[in-house]
Amino acid sequence: MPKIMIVDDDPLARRLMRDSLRRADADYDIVEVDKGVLALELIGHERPDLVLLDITMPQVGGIPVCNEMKRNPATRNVKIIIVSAHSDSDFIGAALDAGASAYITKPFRPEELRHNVRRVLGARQEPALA
Amino acid sequence: MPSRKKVTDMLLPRQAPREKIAAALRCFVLLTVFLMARLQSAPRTADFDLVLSLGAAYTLVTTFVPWARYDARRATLAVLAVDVILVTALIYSDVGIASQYYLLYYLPILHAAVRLNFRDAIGTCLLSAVGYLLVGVLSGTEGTVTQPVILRVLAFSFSAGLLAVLFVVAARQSRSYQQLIIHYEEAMQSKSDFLSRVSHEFRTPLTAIVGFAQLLHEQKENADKDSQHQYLTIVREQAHHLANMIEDMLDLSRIADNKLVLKPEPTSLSDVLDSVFVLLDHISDRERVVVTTEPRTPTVWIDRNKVEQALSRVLEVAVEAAGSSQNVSVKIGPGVEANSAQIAIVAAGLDPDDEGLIPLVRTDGAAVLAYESTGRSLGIAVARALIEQHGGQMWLADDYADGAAICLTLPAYRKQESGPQVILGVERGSEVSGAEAHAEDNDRGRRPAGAEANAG
Repeated sequence: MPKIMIVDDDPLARRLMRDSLRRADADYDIVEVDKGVLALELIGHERPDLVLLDITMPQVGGIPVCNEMKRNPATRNVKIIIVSAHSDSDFIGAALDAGASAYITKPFRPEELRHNVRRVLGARQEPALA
Repeated sequence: MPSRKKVTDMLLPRQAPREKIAAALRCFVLLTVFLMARLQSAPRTADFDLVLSLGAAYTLVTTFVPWARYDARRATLAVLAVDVILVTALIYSDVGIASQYYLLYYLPILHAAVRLNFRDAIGTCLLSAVGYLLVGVLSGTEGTVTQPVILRVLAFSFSAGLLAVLFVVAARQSRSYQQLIIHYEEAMQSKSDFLSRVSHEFRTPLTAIVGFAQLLHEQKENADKDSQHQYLTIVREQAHHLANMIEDMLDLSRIADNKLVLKPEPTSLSDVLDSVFVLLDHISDRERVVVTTEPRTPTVWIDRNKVEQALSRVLEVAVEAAGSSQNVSVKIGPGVEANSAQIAIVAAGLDPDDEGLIPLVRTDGAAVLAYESTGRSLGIAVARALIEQHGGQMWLADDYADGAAICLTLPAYRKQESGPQVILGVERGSEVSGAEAHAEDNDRGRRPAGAEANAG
């Protein structure tokens, strides 16, 4: 079962991502973290397949977390999807340059999240929702 | 006693090295032209042409090429290029070169004028005129000043002075225009940053509204009553939060433009608090807020809606800071200053370092924070701005026994007629209040009269 780590300081955003993924046809093991620093500490232990990462968080933001994960050989291969309210091309470019596999702008539709998770994890296409 | 160097520094403001070089080269060009004019009867050499053309090239480029003032590398290349052209023209041209040297008197004047230094421009103009006069005197018959020489000097002085003034005026207009452009670009950048920040802040509640509404839509066939209720509650609260953000943004904008109109009326603070409680999202939050009202608390002169808005923003922050297990204490009493009332909202988790409370720490005015506020600090920014619009103050006090406090003062209602001002309304102490018991607490956190540490 793929393990997904959700890193976002907004509890509502974490819950939305969690509940959206629970309604997917695939089962995911979901871990929630509310700080970038904590994510960097836990990622080696949790060894997720995918990290859903917010950009604007206290202390350590999403881009530095992304950079650190790609710098560390132990976490280099973990896929990252940025889920952020920033829609500027600067942020999108910085996130993709830092090694993110996809960028989702808030607000997003649950199926958009599920589609990107499926794509990044390499799963087969889920039938379109009504 | 200050050292001689310090005294010199104080009397003579330091000039940038480039300015010193420019001034030295202006003098150099003047001197060279003077000498060459004086020696124009002597055989012309390539060395003189080289030196003169280099000075002239520098003056030309730094005068007429705008970016030469800050891009030294490109300016050097341009100077060398112009120099090559001038040297080539001087060496391979035999048509009255010596007499044309007089024209180079104008170049230092232009240079000084365009560099926006009126004193230098006039000084250089006078120096040129004196130099021209000396050339005329020394070139005249037996050292006598002839009438044609005087006329030429006067004509030269007049034209050089006129040229300097024209260029100074043009350059000053150009500088004003450049400053306007800079201010415009800064304003556009601020606007862009503000819109970007606003967009980001609005997307946070929108994410919850759109996302959970979509989840509800997906659930219509497998309705789970509990999650449906939770999702609906989230959507309602976030929609309310979004509406508050829009209202706060508009109010801050109105305050910044001096367009906010207050409609003050005599109002009881206890009544205001009762209304504010209704605005809190959860009943459990309301139950955790304990209000104590001191006797002799004056009726206040406020726009009730706006103060309710301000207090609701403050209470939301305090309730959030206190967490789910701690109470929030609201203490109402007379202010330290006469004819004012004070409210202290005490919560254990209020942290002066919290970025959401920045508007209470900053000293440059809450309205300014409209452009810097994050979603969390926006409510506090607008609360402070609204309180200050009433003539009150709002600040953060960290010397309460049971936590930090957000304190604010509001003006008491006073009789408008001439004569002694009388406080008309006095509230009764509420049953839960203990004026004596809380007297010590109530004295804490009160801003001393005239202390403006946190004021805008």
